[in-house]
Amino acid sequence: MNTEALVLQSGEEDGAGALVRPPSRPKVQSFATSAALEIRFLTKSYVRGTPALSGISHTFTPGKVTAILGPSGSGKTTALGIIAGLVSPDTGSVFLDARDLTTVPTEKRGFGLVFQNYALFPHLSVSENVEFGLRVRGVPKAERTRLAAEMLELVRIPQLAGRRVHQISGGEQQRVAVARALAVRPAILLMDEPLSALDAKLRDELRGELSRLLRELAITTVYVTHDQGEAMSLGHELIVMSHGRIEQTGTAQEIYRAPNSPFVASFIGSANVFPNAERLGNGEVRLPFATLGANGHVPVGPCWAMLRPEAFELVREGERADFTARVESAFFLGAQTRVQLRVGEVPLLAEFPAGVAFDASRPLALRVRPGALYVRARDSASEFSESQILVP
Amino acid sequence: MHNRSLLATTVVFGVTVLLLCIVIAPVLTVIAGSFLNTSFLGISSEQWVGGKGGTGDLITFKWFGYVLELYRPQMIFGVQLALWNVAVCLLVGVPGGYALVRRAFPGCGVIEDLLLLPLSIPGLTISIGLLQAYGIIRGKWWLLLAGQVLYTLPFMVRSVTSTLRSYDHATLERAARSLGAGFWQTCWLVTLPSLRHALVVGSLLVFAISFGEFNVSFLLNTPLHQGFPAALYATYTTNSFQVSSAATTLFLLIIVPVLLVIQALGGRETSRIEQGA
Repeated sequence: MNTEALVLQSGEEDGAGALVRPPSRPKVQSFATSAALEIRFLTKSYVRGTPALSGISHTFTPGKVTAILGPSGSGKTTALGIIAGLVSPDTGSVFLDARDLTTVPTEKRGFGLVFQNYALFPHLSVSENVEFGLRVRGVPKAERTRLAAEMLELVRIPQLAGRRVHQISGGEQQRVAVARALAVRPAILLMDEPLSALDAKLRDELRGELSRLLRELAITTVYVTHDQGEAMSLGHELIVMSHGRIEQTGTAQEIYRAPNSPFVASFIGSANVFPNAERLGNGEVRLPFATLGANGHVPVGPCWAMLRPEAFELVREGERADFTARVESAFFLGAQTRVQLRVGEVPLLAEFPAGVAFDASRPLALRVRPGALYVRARDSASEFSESQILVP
Repeated sequence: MHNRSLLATTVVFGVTVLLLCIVIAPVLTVIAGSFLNTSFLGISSEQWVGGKGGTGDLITFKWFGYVLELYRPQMIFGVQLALWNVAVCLLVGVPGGYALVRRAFPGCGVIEDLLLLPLSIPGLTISIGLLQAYGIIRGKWWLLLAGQVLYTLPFMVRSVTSTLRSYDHATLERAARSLGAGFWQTCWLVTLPSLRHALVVGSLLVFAISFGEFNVSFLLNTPLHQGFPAALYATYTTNSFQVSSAATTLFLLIIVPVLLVIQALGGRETSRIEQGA
């Protein structure tokens, strides 16, 4: 599934210049904002508990979507709150086009915000919700109704303009929230888990549309989520956070291929992570279940290693196998079959192309694809838990 | 089996009707007494207030005129006092209730509990306390107002806090601010409209309670400034049954519509919450 997301992502990347626009789609003027957002050394501690942010810095790519990804408590929402001006940082600054915004209140920043629970005004109609920001700015009624209609067209719900908020579905409410945030032509669009209150089917649908909309508008967007699929499909760039720190930044492919830490390895995609591997003098790497060849510049000694589920290959009769494994369970997923293996006491997660039948009674002879074993020197790995398989 | 359940239903229905009759009977008696000429029954004290006694029509509305003439000042003052009460509760209770929910500070739970305390203290105790503490302003009508506000404020505050707690108001405010609305614009365009229903119900409640309040007011009343319940008390202690009945009916005419509106709005609020608004 993660592999699929990756493939999808690279497909969209390649065709970024030639997006197919559906015929029904209204012509959208790009926001053409080159707003350059930057955060520097942000720290924040709440009264109780560990620091929410311990000194994060990042320069956001103008006109692109940056996804901040992390588990709950990683500080991603605090970071977004600071950018929005809803949370004041203990130290550090927020810059927009080299202007220091740190002490500028939310209402003066001109950023659009989309919340997880939509936060539509219940006493206003759909159109009045979209008009709100314009009304506050003193735009005349006729003008703002026209602009609101345009925005509702953009999110494809022009027919709902006159409805009350409680008369429309969750997916429609979130479309209204996006239209409302975009109506004021914000310099930056900030989205806080906008899809996580929706059911799976609706979420996929809206994710696709949101992705297209944000690319067309070319608006600098910060998108906070705990869902790696969402982050990988929407984010031009990803920021993976954990415990108030940025663990890694980069495109989805970069992070998937070369995670900086066992945490990132297990958080982006599924992975078999071995925090206590060892690089031997002959260049091979000793894992708990086998010793395998590996390339990469890792010094001899303790290291951590990762094998993606697609790293394993079935060995035909007569060929050399790296190890044999017991099949514990197998799930048919359509394009692939996900298999839970065990070598001695070591559990392994593997994915094979569909078409192979797995029999729990017969051991499997397996090989690791050349170059598939990923090895990194130990640094932050030491604090990592001992569990070896992490499937988010 | 079927017969038994039918019997049970009949018994329950009968008991309910009986209880309703017992509850409503005094009210009906009073209302009937306000316009029926009871002198036909030979128990009239009409002659004490200038009537002829034993003669006249079966139905008469002259007692209403009598009450309106004699107790008009109390009635007008009662309405004025209730309106002042509503005004003070809105001015104090709305920002106060908002602060308790949205600007939570250490000890605000204690304050909220303290605010409810007057409801569980006998009204006379509040009056005596006020008289002892503020004896110097004894006899001023606004000491009466202060006593009533102590008693009615919790209703307004509760109305505001329960509405603010019923949904994620903090995020709505954030949304408004992100769209460029400052504090006052957010108050005016988001917070107050969201509270509109709570304010209407709270105001009606405060009005109804203030207009009918007797316990707190009894000791704080001055000869010049008495609420309508004091007039009712006077009619019962010093006047005829017909006069006090007419006064009570007038009281009900003012208070029952308010209570009915509160009831109707309360029902609407419930259905709105059920719709997820």
